[in-house]
Amino acid sequence: MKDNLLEVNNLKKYFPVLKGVFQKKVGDIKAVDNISFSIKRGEIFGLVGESGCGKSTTGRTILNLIAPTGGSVVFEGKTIFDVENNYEISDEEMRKLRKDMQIVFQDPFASLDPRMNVGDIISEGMLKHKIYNKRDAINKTKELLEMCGLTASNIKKYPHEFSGGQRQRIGIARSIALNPKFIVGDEPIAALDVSIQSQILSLLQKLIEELNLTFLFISHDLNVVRYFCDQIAVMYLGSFVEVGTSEQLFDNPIHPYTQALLSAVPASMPSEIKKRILLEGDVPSPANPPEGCKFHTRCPYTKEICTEKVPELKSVDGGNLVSCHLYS
Amino acid sequence: MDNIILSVRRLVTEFKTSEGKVIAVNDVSFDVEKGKVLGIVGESGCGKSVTSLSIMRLVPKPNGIISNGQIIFDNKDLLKLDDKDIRSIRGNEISMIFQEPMTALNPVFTVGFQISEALELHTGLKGENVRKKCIELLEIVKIPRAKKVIDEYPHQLSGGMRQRVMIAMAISCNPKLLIADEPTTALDVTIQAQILDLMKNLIDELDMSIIFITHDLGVISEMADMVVVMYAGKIVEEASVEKIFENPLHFYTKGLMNSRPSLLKKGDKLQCIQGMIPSPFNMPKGCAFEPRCNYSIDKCKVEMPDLLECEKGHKVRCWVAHQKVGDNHER
Amino acid sequence: MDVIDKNNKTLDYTPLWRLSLNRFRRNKLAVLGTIVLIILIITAIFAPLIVQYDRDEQNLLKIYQKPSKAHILGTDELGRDVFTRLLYGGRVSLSVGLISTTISVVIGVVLGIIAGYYGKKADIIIMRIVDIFMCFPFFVIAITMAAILGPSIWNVMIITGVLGWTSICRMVRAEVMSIKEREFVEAAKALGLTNREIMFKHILPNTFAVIIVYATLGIANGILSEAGLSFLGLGVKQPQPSWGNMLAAAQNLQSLQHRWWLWIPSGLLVFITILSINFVGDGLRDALDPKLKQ
Repeated sequence: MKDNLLEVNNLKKYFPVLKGVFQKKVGDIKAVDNISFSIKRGEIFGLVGESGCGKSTTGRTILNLIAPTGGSVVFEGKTIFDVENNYEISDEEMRKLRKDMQIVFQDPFASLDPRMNVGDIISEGMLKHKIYNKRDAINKTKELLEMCGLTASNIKKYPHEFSGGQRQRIGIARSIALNPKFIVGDEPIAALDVSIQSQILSLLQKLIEELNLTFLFISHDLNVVRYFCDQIAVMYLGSFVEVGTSEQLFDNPIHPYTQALLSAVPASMPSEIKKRILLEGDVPSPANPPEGCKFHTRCPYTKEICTEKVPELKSVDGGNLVSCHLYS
Repeated sequence: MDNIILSVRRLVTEFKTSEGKVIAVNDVSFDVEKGKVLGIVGESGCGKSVTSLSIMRLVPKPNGIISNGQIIFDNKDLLKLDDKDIRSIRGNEISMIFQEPMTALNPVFTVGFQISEALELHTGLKGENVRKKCIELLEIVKIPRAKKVIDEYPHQLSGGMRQRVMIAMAISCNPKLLIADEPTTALDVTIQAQILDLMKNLIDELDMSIIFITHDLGVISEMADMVVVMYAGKIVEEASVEKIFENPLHFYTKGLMNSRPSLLKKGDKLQCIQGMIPSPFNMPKGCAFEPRCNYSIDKCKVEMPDLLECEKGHKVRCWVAHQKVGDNHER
Repeated sequence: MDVIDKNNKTLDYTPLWRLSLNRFRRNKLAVLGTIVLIILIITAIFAPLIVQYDRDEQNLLKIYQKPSKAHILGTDELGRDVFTRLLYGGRVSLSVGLISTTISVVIGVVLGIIAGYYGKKADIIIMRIVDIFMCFPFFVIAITMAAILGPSIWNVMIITGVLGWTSICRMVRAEVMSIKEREFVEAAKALGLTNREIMFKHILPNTFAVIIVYATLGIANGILSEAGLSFLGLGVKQPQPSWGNMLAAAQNLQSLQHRWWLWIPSGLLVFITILSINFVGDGLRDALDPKLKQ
């Protein structure tokens, strides 16, 4: 457990389901349900899953952008929150800590304030944290723009003057402006065109290397995650079903859901013949997840125990951590 | 030429905007064979969706105009038909499914009502028969509990189910041609696999042709027989799916293939196409891809190359590729 | 390095404000309204240069004169020139509209942002206050207040301002609620900005479009209220003229039947002004609404 930059323990985030005139709480949407993992310094950790599995919520809860329901997050030895022990970092300290942990968003159109110019967008954080004075901030902003593949002369332009890919570069420049140690990328390339995706991906690669960043990469694109990440966690309905290194997970998927997910990825060449495991039906609603193993309603190998007991996340043959009764 | 169901010739579609005229589809020609799948690949703004709307004559008026070309379907030029005749073809002989099934379905009517609407209009079925046929259709697209789903509203269904309903509506009149505009883009991979599987089965069962529009090369490699690659309103390459994937000739196609991380091992360097698509108001004079191309020659800057056959059944719009062929011939 | 954008051009977009201006210009009625308003404002400001009479200059020898060369719109019961008083009245009416709107915009925007941004308890409390204010029968309250505070131009401004902030508060609240869900607000939070900084640096500028449109329409409301209150004798006090208290001439049956020049011009001006402002307001709404962008 040496040199973990981030440790997440038993993280939970429930959204209340409100009903009726009086907004009575009738249940919970368990967006994130008891997940634990840690990210080593300099590692790229991938979080994959289908829409609604809680991967974005996980990212935001870790950054304390939304209040957690349970669990704890420790960043560089400093506890950000620990719900069970009733501890939460003070607002002032949290604000200081924000320098070190940043986020890149999916939608390059919603993530930049349309009324601010590029220079203000990127330098806002530097000025807020008083890292630079005004003049130095402008120079640093220009430097950041160049670093992210834009020309420095763009500094006075407004977001709507840029294409989606360029806006994403601005968003990335903003996130690295404070010299963070850790960045959450919430589907940073999902909204972009194919040829632009690869541009942004290699920009991220370059920055991670040059700036020595630790990265939590949230994505639904398995090909990208396989290529980009060191560690990968597969999420289903708010829980991890399998965690392993990129090679282990893709070469030897163990959990039936991971297997199905990987087999569903379209072949990359027409000559490639894929053996497909077609899952039945849809993902159940997170407001009313199945008892026991959450995947049992779609799993081809369901046993009796699966409907009763939640499987634990355990190492299988010293490799991937898997949460499945078939292997326990 | 009997096995060609749809033939698009020199199609030009323009849009008037407040900043000037935009040529969204520029001199596009292709054929769709009976029982085959034609894939149209390209990035946003390349004109692939406008091409499909032009075939359906659904280009938004009055700003969009089909200013040139022919669309021959069943020996008829669709562009010459009046509104009444085109309506009898639309949804009947040619039907369409969209990317976002939620917006394509009307939220205030039941699934059954929306399917039967098209059925009654085009087939003249009535009463109980319509309902029977609807349930049959829902079963064809493998919707579980079809008898119940028929009385449900679109919002009660998941994304994958809605897309199935859309497909059921589209095939309700046994169309000869189905246009699928990014039908799986909004869906998750496991659901996408289900829908693609369903569509493959339907091609075999119903003997229809499909125009499959997508930006996802993986999906194209699975679905298509013939592939057309579009860039900035023009076709840049056209060939069978094997040839496109194994031996792409245009540098744009090559770039797209290489920028996919699916073929790379971890640690390999990602190739990318630099820059971005040119603004429709400020098109380069020569080849539209020239500003982003690493292999361009002087000629590329000044003159737009034609779409020429470089190998049998493999057309490409690139001076460099043309030159190579020329060299080979001289030798 | 191939991560650098090779041609590095930005898109050739026209600036947003120019797009809005173009859209505004295409709306003929809005342009007409703007021109009319500009004329009205200029004549009100430069009234002393345009007319040769003094505002309160009485001439008891020339009361109730019909329009003539010397008095374009005749004279009133004290022999004052109606046209002159109309121009000076414009000053009062327009400034009442402007100032009362400023008051209601300030109250409405501040409360609207707080309600929309913080939500929960703050939202419930503020929106209930709005509901209560909306239940007030405006004229009854205004008349009572005017009776207590005494009729004066300042009281009219304050009363209309304080009673008229509810609709803008609701609009701003709704707008803030949608803006705060956008990712740039989350990004600001992630940068460590405080709530106050987020509200005023990021959210407020993005609500300007709504504020401008509703403020414009609010001015019309202010002018109307002034006219109404002054007509009842509870607004602007004589001898200071306003369009409203000039309309009060119509309360005299003699004038109503035989001396049209005393009340028709002021009534017409109120009508034209309100209509123009509403045209401009509609034009602005269409021009500034990003959802209508093609």
